[in-house]
Amino acid sequence: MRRNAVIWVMLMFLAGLAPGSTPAPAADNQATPVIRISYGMFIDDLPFYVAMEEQLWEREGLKVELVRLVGETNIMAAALKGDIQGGHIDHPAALHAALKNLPIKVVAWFGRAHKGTRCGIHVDAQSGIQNVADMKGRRLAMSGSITAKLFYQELLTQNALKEGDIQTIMGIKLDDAMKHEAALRSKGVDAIVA
Amino acid sequence: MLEAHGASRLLVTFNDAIPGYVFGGIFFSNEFINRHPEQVKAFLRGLVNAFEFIRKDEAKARETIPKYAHVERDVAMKSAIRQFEDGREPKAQLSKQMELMVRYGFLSEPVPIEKVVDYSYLPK
Repeated sequence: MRRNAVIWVMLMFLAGLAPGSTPAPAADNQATPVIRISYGMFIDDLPFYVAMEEQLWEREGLKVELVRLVGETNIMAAALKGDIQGGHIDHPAALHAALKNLPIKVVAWFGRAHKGTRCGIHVDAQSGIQNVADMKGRRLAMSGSITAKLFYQELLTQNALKEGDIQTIMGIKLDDAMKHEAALRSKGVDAIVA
Repeated sequence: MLEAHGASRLLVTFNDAIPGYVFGGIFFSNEFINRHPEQVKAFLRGLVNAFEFIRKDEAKARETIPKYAHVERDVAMKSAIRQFEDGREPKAQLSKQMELMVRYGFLSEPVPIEKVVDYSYLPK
């Protein structure tokens, strides 16, 4: 909690430095303004890739540079310093930014879950786990992100399970597929949120 | 990818637990928005056109993934992708997600959505 407070104070400090010190992107009336925007090099960033390859931003008179950055704190700090002009932010981080009065605005949402979504709990194919209730007493690895924790907590509620019924191991990143596979194959965990 | 290699089976998805879950958004600093509103609008026109492109020709869109995300083409062509509409999401959905965050202790208090979201730069 205290660490989070320090991070937010740092972000606010960076925001305070921003006026007049932000490296100026090209003005609106210049020929080809450049926007630097963060991306995570994930499949979820697909609209960025399409816009780049189909020159959809160039048609709008913009040059866009994708800058690989991960972690909402890093991305917001970079934007407030002017290293990038914008970026992606997950829903929980956007709300925390609002709560802390950070000077940013979400100008568009970037995709939602649907019936074909494959993000969720992946179980060891040999585990015999057939439903969420079968997870009782098993080991579940997940990232420490609020998004993953929110999903997990809601699943516990929906399945009348309590915290502690499932042994959680935090720290595995949602995007690190090779780690997921190694963890499952080694039987280090029974399931992964990925 | 995990399933493709036979290591795992999908038990339950984000959408099963929280239907229509909005994963995230695109933000700009207030300073940039105020100084360059036309650039923000141009950026969003391109982005929304990309959303439309994905809906209309998903296979061609997926062909761009290996170059940028550095994954194999067969993974790029099979992996699930998010549902992209016009950059807006129902307020009820966003509020529901916020309520869950408060309920489970991930947000100390509700925040007016309007405080952090501004759709006025999106194409109509």
